[in-house]
Amino acid sequence: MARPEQVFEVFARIAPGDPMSHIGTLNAPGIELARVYAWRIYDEEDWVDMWVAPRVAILSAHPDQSGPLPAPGRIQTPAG
Amino acid sequence: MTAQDDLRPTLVALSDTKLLLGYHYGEWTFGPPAIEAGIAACSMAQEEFGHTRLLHGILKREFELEIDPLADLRPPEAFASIAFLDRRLESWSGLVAANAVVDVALSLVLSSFEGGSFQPLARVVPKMLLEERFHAEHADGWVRLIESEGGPVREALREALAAALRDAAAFFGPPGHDAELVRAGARTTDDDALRHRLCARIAGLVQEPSAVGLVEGTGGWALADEPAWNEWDPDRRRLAAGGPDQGMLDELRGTKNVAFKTA
Repeated sequence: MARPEQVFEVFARIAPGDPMSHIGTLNAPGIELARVYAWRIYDEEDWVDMWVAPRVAILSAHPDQSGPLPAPGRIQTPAG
Repeated sequence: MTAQDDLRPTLVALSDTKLLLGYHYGEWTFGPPAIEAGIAACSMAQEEFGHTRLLHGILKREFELEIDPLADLRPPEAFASIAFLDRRLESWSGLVAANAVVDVALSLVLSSFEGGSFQPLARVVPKMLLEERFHAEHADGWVRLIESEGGPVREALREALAAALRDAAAFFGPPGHDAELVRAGARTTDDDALRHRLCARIAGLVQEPSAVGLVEGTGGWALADEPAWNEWDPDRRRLAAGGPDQGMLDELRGTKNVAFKTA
């Protein structure tokens, strides 16, 4: 398959009103499978909500950083 | 013979097919294209085995039919399962076809009991279908992905989908065979309508429905080649002779480990 996999970030909460917490990441070839994989992989709790988002869609709000989050495995520092 | 008696072969066919589907999903815990796909396959296997046990419980309580998968001595040709699952699925395209066609066919049959008068199944079907929703989404995601890729992987998938559709179409049986069950209220939809729904669903996923043997007619989407209903076995809900591979059944039953079984 030629299509590259994307990295997705997974967020969830156990109880209504709780803040959404980042619970992990996963690789998937598209958002449709990312949703399925997220629910299957992170099933250790009775989540009331679970969100999945492509990592490239998440932007840093830190004033010293801009653009999408760095690729997995890289730690972005203000110095780059 | 009551309408409830007529339900028995349907429930046996559902549980036999779910048992084999669970086996194939379990087998694809290893060797899928991504570890996430392996986790999903393993998870779907657990649910299929869970549904099988649930159906076995209903068969025992309501029909005094005891099927213990580990002690089941029925020969392969006594199994009432969709023939597409008879052999090992040698490539990921086979697993995706089983997921998209066989799994969805079973869910469609289950859905016809929701709101029906056969309470032992009608009560548990909503939760089963909730779990099955993710199986269908997994299938949809993979079919769309492979279809968009084109090339040899798409050809392999289309070939597998066509074979799975032929065998699943047989599972639904000849039009009208279940009229009594629907009339009695045990099921809310007849098998012929469910077969059309399955065909329409697959036709909506692939770019060229004719490439998987589907045509659109006045009654909706259907197989281009009508199954040879004169050869249909109502007890096994299939046309194909034979049955699941004996080696697969031995693995399912733990035949090699019988000495470790507890009383």
